[in-house]
Order: sequence, then structure tokens, then C-alpha cells
Amino acid sequence: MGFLMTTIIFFVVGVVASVLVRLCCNRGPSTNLYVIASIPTLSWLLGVSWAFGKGLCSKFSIHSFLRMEIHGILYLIFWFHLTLIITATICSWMMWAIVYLAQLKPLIVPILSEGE
Amino acid sequence: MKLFEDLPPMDHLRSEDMSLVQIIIPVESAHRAVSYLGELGLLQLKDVRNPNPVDLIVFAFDSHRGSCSVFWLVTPATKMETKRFLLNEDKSPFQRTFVNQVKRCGEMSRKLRFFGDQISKAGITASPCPASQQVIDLEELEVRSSEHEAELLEMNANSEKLRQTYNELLEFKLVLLKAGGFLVAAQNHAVPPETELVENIYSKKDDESVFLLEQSVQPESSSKAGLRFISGIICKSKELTFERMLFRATRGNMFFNQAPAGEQVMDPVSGEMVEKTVFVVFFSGEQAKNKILKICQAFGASCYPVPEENSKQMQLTREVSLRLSDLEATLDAGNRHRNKALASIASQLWNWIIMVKKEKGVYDTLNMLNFDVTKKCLVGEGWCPTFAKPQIKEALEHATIHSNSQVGIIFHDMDSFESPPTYFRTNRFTHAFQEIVDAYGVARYQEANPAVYSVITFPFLFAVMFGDWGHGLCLLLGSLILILHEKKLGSQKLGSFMEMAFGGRYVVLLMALFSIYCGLIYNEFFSVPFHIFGTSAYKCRDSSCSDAHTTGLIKYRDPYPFGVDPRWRGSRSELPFLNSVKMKMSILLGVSQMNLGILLSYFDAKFHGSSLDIRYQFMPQMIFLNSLFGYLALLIVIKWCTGSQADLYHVMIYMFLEPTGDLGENQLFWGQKELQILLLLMAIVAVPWMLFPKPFILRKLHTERFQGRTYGILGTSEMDLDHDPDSARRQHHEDFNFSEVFVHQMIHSIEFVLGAVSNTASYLRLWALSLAHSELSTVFYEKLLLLAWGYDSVIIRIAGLAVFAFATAFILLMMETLSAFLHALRLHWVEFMGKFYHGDGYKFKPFSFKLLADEEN
Repeated sequence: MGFLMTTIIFFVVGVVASVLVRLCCNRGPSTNLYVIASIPTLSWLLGVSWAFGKGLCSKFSIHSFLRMEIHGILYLIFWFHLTLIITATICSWMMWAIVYLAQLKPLIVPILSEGE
Repeated sequence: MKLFEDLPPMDHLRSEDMSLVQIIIPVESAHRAVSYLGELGLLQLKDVRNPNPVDLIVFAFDSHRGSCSVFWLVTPATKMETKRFLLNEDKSPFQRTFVNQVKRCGEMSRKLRFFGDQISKAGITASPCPASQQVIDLEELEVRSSEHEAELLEMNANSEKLRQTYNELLEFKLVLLKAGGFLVAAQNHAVPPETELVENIYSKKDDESVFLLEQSVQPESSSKAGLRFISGIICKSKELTFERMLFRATRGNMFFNQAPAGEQVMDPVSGEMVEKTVFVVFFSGEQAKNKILKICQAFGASCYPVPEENSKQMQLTREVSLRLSDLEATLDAGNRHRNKALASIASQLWNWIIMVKKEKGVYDTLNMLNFDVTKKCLVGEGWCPTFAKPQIKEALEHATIHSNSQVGIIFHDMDSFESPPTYFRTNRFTHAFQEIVDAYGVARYQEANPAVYSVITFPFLFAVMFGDWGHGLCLLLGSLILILHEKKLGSQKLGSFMEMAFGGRYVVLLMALFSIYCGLIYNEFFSVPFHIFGTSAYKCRDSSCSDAHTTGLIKYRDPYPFGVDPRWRGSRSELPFLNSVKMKMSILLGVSQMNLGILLSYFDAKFHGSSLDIRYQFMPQMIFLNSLFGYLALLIVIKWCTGSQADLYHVMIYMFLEPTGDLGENQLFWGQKELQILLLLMAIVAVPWMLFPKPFILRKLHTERFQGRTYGILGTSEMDLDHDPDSARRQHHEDFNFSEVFVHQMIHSIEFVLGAVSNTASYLRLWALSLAHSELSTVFYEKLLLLAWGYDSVIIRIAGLAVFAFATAFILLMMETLSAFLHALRLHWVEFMGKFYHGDGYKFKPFSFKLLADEEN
């Protein structure tokens, strides 16, 4: 459970960072579109992650949201700053996940040395 | 998938759209137009001295309406004439004008460089104050710089002459002082003539006593005995050989007296201050005199006549001293005058240099253009980004208006079969990363740019090898200092090392941030672990901790939430555990990055519409890599999640050696054997899949396309197919060399298949370097800091701290940084970019005044 929670935390942090970056450095074309698209997307993502984290199946219809928002999300994806944020999030998550999983069911345990 | 096609392209992923443009500039606005284009800096002109004009523009000037209409005219007849005419560029007086201008600019920059040399020699540093900078014309600058140069040369020659005279007089004075002493002493000793003359070395004190003595003695003139002397001055280093030479030449019939000159004199030959010796040679006979004079000349000794009488000597000395002080005053005045002139130049020099460079650049560019047969305009071709076309048009319009030209400048697109240059619009953040990628190879036009991902993955892989948040904080501090002083450091001239560090400040910033993150994951702060994220997941088996040193601790709760458990540090089983984790981590990261590389090759193939590449290159490559090493990555994750004791080496090796054999205790999941057989078959099938189909299909496509061409084309006499390489109507009839294509594909496939193994293993350097860093850090901490801290003495503690700081700074922060940087770079260049990158493009180098100014810096 801890693995899943932390994974979701990474995901949410990535999304928040990407939104912040775009709001701060809005130099690209149709920035307004991105800002507009990001707010419902963000709320949607937060909603889903909250529901998932609680172990409940999300009851509201995400399908309709999906149709509207996926286009917005994909607009988000194809922007340079976003690529950076996503890459950074994925790299950081992988690093954490590898070290976490390696310690999940370890085959050896710490054997203290004489000095301790 | 239609959703993906509607989206705007990601900036930086591919080169900007470039267009080949042709500009036709009338003569009167040529200089101004090129200057404005230089200010804009968005056009790269090609050298079109010998173009093959396809289209010919004819100006039709309508005198009634005072307007000009332009129309295209393609006439093969005139084309031939034009070509012949243009090839004879020696005959054009117009062309020669620009060559002269370039020579003028060259001459002026030579003069300005001369000023710069003189200024630095005189040690003047004048910072250019903007208020005093006047805007002057090039002609005026030419005149002024020639005046200044003549003035400076004259001043230099004069001061040189004066200095020479000064040196000579100084030597004469020294000779008078010392030789006078000898002569007096010689006269004293000559009173009993039988006494042998003894060599005396005088000090200043002796000189004074000699003067006192000589007043009481009436000296006999030694010249009455036929004894004459020559006095002079020679370099101290040559003095002994000189004496020996004189002795041999005169067969011992001479008497040599010498004394050190006492002060350093400037040697006229070398220009340095050297020690000199004053000498007096007593001899008799004319022949001896000649020999001695010749030897003096050969050794570079300067001879000065010293009068024998003391009173005359004193008088002469007084006169010489007076003259010397006069000369000194003159020299000083001259130097002051020159320095004033140089200072006035120095304040303007930078401005002038830039101006001359700009003009030279403009004339060089004008030389690259060619002129139309009417001799009224210049024609040029160049590359520019498509987005810049309106800006260029605007600049050219301004040039037309400001030069009061009747005719506008023509600016239009052209077709080209040449590959355009690659242009990425970088800002100061992405510039360094783009430079790193370009160092391997400039991207082909419209090829995927790995810099987009390298911005993150490069510092990330660096951090995996460097992981220590204490060291990361030091790097962060260094990079922040560089970034906060950006403006100041950017305008200064820095040493080569500082310049590199400053250029890569954003790279170092990201490296530092990721190092802090990885340091937190590895739980190392100068190799010390912390319990930041809660308590350890391990505890003793019982309260007495009796078997903690034999069987170890046990894991009693969920794993440590973030990073490596702090209990591992210092334990005996730390290295086996960490090595296992880091090796598996390297494989996982490596497989991910290589998959990203192959995925980028898919996006490239899709962009260029090459379904052949997708079906017969991307797919077998993906299948091969993932059925072997992707499967290994999966096994690693499953082993971790299930805690199985399976030996993955054994599994992988026996997958090849004995695919049908029983896995036994190495079984990780149900159906593993069948899956392995399937994956092995897929990998085996993928190899001929990426080797054979593509060359055959290419051959088939080629024969389909050029099927009718073997019959030959019915061409008219006007269409010069063979002699128009740039013609838009060129036929691409290249021979398809099947064996070459097949060998190329074979090399590519073998490289990929063997590379899959070697590249995956290459990623193990992530483990190796991170282990080295961690161990070095531990050694410095335990053997330097802790050891020194164990003593009570403050001095030893401070000394230990100092050595620890020194070792950390130089070995860990500098050497390890460079080492990890290099290895991360190699992983990117070879393992990542080797999967999709061609890197055989060329960079867009526009004609830009800003670039010229940067070059000068």
C-alpha cells in the first residue's frame, strides 16, 4: 500500500509542477488554452487519485470527462517544459521505486560490524 | 491516433523549418541592406560566386510612371550568356570594389591591433565609458587611425633613439667612474717603475681613498712609457673569456684591470637589465691596439675614451651626469605624451574594433553575392528560418527606404535539393545542453533532437553516479553563485576553465538538484546516513542484540519509506546488498533509456513517413531488445516483489543453453519456461527480420520508381541535364547499389544485436562509479575526519578538518564530478543516441553582428 500511495504522490507532484511551470513561464502559443485545459484536468486527476487512494472505485463517469480532457492533456504533453517535468518525474519515481522494491523482501539482512 | 496528429509539434524536438531564399538587392541599397541583415542575424548566405542561374529577373523600368515592374523571364539563351559572363569574375570592376573594401578593413583592423598591443605594453587599462564614444564614419576612422599610427610609430622611434643614447651615456659614466680609479692607481704604482703592476679590485671605499691620495702625489704620465690603455664596459658573463682572448691575442703583453659596474644596465641587444663589468686594458704598440679593438667589437664590449688627468675625468663625469639627467627628463616627458595619446585611443578602441569588424563582415558578405547581367543589382542565396521571413522582409524594406532607392529588394523562396542547416532556438538554459549534444554531431535537418530528453536524463544519470546530498549541496552552492553573478561574469573575459564552468552553470544546477535527490535516496550525507524519513525497518532479534554481529537484524515492518535504510551503513553485509541493488538498478535504467532511444527512432520514421523503417527496423529492434533485456528487467522486478531466491544469471544463461530444461528453484512465476521459449524464438526471428527484408524492398521500390528511365529521355538541346546540378528540373537518377545497401543493413543489424548486450552491460558503470564515490566518501570521513576528531587536541582536529575539506573538494567534488560527467556523457552519446541519432547535419550560422562581437571577445 505504501508503494501505491507514494507512486500517486509522485504523480500528483508531477502534475502540480507542470501546471506551475506553465503558469510561470507562459511563453508558448495558446497558453490560455493550456491554462483553461489544465484546471479541469487537474481537478479530474485529483479526484481520481483521491478515490483510488481510498481504495474505492470511482463511481462517476470518467468516460465523458475523458473525451473532453484527453485532448487537453495531450496538448499539455507536447510542450517542451512539460516534457522536462514528466521526464524528471518518471526518473525520480523510478529511482525511488527501484530502491523501495529492492528492500521489500530482502534476501540478506544487516549484520552489524564489531565496532557498533 | 488522429488525436495525436492534430497536436502542435513540440518545440526543440526538431529543427526549425528552414527555407532557401534568394535576395536581389540593387546596388545603392546593398551595403545598408546587408548591415540590417547583420543586425537581425537570421540569414545564412551561401557563397554564390558561380551560381547556375535558373531564373533570370529582368527589371523593366517604366520611365513614364517612374515605377519599376519586375517579371520573371526564363530564357535558355540568356541563361547561357549570363553563366559565361558570371564565370569571368576577374573582368568585373564591380566585384573588385568590394575586394578593395575588404583590404581596407583588414588594414584598419591591423592598425587597431597595433594600438591594442601598444596599449597593453604601456600597461594602460582604460575602460570604455559610453559617454565619450562618438559615432564616426569608416572613412574618418581610417584617416584618424593612420594619423594615430604615424604618431605612435614616430614617438616609439624617438624614444628608442633617446633610450639608446641614455644607455650609452650611462655606460660612459660608469666607465669614467671605475676606470678613472684604475688609472689613478696605475699612476700611483708607476712611481717605482720596476714594481710589477698588480691587479687590484676596487670597492667604492677604495675609490675615495685613492682620490685623497692622488692629491699629494705627482703622477707621471704613463703614456710616456709607450703604455696606452683602452677602457670600456662588457657583460659580466663574457668577461672571463674576453680576458683570456685578449691575453692570448697579445701573447700576455697586456695588463687587464676590471671592476663590476655596480648597477645594472640595459643590454641593447636583448633589452634586459644585465650586470656589466668595467675594464681597462693596458698595452703597448699599434698592432696590439688593433687586435684589442677587434676583440672588443667581437665580444660586444663598448669602448669609451677616458682622459688620464683626474680633473678632466671629473669634468667629463659632471657633463655626462648633466646630460643623463636631461635625457631622463626628456624620456619621461616623451613617455607621458605617448601614454596620453594611447589613453585617448584606448577609450574608443573597442568601439572602433567592433565597427571595423562589422564593416569587414558586411563587405565579406557582399563579396559572397553575385551580380546580375545588368550590373545594377546583387543576387544572393541563403537559408533562413521560415518564421524569420517577415522580419527579414521588413529589414530589407527599411534598407530600401533609408537608402532612398527607387527599386525594392526582391526576396523570395527557392527550391533546393540540398539539405538545409539545422537550427534550434535555444535560450541560455537549453543552450548548454544543445552544445553537449552538438559536440557528438549536429542533428540532421528535422531529426529528433536528443537534447530535449538529455536536459533531464543527463543530470539524472550523473546523479546516480554521484549520489550524496552533502556533495550535491556544495555543487548547488557553486552553481547558484555562477547563476546569480550571471550578468557580471558574462561581460568579463574569463579563463578557459572558468568559461567552461560558467557556460555549463545550468547543467551544474540540474546536476546538483538531482544529486541531492539521489543522495537522499542512497541516504548519504558525506557518507553519513540520516533517519530523516522515520525509523529503520530493522531491529535486533531480541532485546540483548546478542546475535546482531553474527546472524544480523530482522525486518519487522514495511521498508524504509524513502531511500536506503540507514541501518545498512557500516554493516558487514552492506556491500553485498548495495551492490546487488545498484547493479539491478543500472540494468533497469539502461533498458528504459535504450527503449526510449528506439521509441524516438519510431517517431522519426513516422515523421518522415517511412513505414519501411517502422516495420523492418523499429519493430524487430524493439522485439529483440525487450524479449531479452526487457525480460531480464521484468525478472528483476518479480524477484524483488516476491522475495524469491532465484539466481537470475542462471535463468538468463540457461534460457539460451537449455531452453527446455526444468527451472527448478529458479522458477519465479507459473509458465516461465514456456514464456522463455517464446521470447527466445521471437528474438531469433527478429534478427533476420531486421537484416533481410529492407534491402530487397528498397531495391524493388527503386526499380518501380525508375522503371522507364533506362530508355533515356528525349531532351531538347536547351535542357542541359548534365550541367545543371542545382536545377529544379534535375532528374534523380542514382544507381542503386544493392550490395552496398545490403552490407550497410547488415552492419546496422549486427551493431544492434551485439550492441544490445554490450550497451546493457555498459550501463553497469552507473553501479561502478556510485560504488567508487561512496567508498571514497566513506574513507575520507572515517579515516580523516573521525580519526582526527578522536584526539582531544584542537590543532589536530582543525588539521583533520582541513585535510578532509581539501580532499573532499579536490577529489570528490572536482575529480568525481568530472568523471561522472564524462561517463554520463558517454552513456548518452553511445548507448542512447546510437539507437536513433544520425547527427550528420550542419549548423545554421547566420550572418550576425552579435556573433562577430562574441567572436572578438
